[in-house]
Amino acid sequence: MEFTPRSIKANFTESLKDFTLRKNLTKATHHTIEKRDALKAAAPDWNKWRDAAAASRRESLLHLDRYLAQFENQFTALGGEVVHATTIEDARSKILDIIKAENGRTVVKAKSMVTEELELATFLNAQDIETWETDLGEFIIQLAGEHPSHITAPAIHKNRQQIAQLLHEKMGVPYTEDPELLTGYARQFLRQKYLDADVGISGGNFIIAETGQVILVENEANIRLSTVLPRIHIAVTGVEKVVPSQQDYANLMRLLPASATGQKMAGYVSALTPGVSGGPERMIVILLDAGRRQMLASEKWEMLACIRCGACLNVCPIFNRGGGHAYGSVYPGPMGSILTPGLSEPGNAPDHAFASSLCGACVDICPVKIPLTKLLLQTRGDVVNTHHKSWDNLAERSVWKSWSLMMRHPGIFRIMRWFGARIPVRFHWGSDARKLPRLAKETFLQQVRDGRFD
Amino acid sequence: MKVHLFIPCLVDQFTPQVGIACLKLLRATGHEVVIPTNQTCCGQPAFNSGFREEAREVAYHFKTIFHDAKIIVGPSGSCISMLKNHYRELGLIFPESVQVFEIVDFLSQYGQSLRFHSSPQRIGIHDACHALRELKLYDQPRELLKRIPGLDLVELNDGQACCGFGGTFSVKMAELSQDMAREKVKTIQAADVDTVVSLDGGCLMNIQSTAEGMGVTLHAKHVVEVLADAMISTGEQA
Ligand code: SF4
Repeated sequence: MEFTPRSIKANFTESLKDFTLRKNLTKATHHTIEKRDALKAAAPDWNKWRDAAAASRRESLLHLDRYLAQFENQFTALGGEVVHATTIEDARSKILDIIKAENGRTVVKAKSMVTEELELATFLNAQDIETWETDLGEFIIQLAGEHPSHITAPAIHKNRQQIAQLLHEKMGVPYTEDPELLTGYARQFLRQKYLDADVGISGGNFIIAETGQVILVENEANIRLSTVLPRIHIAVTGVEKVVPSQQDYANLMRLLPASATGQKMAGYVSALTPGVSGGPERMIVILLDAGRRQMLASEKWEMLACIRCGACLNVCPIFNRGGGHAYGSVYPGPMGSILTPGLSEPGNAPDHAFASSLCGACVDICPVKIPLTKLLLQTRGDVVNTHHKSWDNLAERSVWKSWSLMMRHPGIFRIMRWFGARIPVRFHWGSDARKLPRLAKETFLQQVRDGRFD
Repeated sequence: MKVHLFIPCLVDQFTPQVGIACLKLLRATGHEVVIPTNQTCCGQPAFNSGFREEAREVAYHFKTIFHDAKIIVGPSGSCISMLKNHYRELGLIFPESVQVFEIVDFLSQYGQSLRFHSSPQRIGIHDACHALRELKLYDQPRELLKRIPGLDLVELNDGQACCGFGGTFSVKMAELSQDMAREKVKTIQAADVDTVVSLDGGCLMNIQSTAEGMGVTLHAKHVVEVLADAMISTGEQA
């Protein structure tokens, strides 16, 4: 699921020079955080809701198979179909098979991060199946030939002028910065695609075990059109998205829109079940594993509680400086730095977990109380252990080994310090402006040993 | 009470005056202070870098040195959080009878007898991430500082934003770290203060060094330095 070969560090170096990016990004993320904070301040029970949401997600994860089986029973009893996909390739080929068997030619897609894992639109277009992203942000990204840079706001890195220019160039519409006109052009273009489409593909914010419902949360009503108009609706979702009951879903919805976009409630919430008159002829849920069960079995299992609200991205000082693309993976920011290596082969994405100062702002904001810094630290440990034979790692290990030796032998430490204090130069600390301070003439502990405070 | 003073390695090596301030304050509140002089480091740097085995070795050494401590007090949110929250992730657990405090936390609970003389100065406050989020120390430093007559405590714009230190993050992702630190220094300048206080040796060192690199005059101090300076010593009180 990676799409850039460069290291995160090099990407961030580039991003730091891009002031437009920084401005676009921080303006949007700060605005969202402010709205979210206002909602939280107005909700005296926020922390109770958060506890309930956190507990509910863990309940799902602790009994995942039971709830998935219950969902499957309910969903199929209503006439739907459930397909299990173990890997990304598996999911792609099963989706393609369904579309081909139905002679599908055109697909409209709702916004979904799981389908980004599959790079589904690109994959289907390459198979001669015309596939369109219908979420405005995703549509912009598709036209630009880019990847989303944020999990809830895919085009957050672009400002209005950039979007105006893009639509002008790619769609041939007159240049305008009027958001309504721009949206209108996109809408006009996509309307026909909804009508042409044989298949609509969505993700799934939640799937409810008790009722067999698929929940989709959005603001543009494009998901409604994509899931209802075409003959066939395929919902692709990670296995971890199952929630036990409607009550759990209600608990989570108190926090999801607020955390994601700072809205008390999203514009449109659909609870879809198969076999509804006026709905699609076939409704299929693809339950994707793609590394999730591997993560569930690891000490980083709590990461699967994530409801993809994106708040940890908005609040992250690193994300706000680098932008989502700097991570070079589908999922950016704190959650992405744990998910990306966690969902892939051990040893992949070794730099992600180090792109954090461990400030913990993400932990404070996460609506389902994922201990993100703890999981980042565990991921760092994993990286060190899986790469134990690389040269970089061996070199760093030898530094820590010597450090450990020194720290366990205060006498050696004191001798090293004696030499250190006599180094006449001050070392650069990362870049030219910041230098490491000089060692104090006498340490505090030396003064204590000298009896200065007796 | 008998208190064991933990002086984190950075504080010991670079800012011994913070250790002295701790000692003065603890003694002034009438506590017996034990300072194990063979202490070195809590193990946090290696732990945060993913080298857990080495971190555990050093953490184990720390525990051995402090084996007979009942109350451990030290200046620096992240090091105290290492003991309180992260040692157990390394499989090292303090007995329940052992209490661990950041010094400001300790003084806010057991430092009622401290008296301060007037010290008119404007001071900015930066909330160090681990003190704030892992130890929940927000009111404590503010309440203590406000007990100093004449002291004007100034909140920074975005005062809870990370300064970009992050231990080895500041070396591994140096440019990012530098960028964050510069922004922090700018908000301190914007607050029109030339002294900023915080609760973490790492952050203070980062802010101080970055300011120097930018040619900005700034004193980054641990809260205890300001408290100790303004404290009326027992002799004076009597
Ligand atoms: S980790 Fe938490 S804050 Fe981040 S996207 Fe997931 S649920 Fe939201």
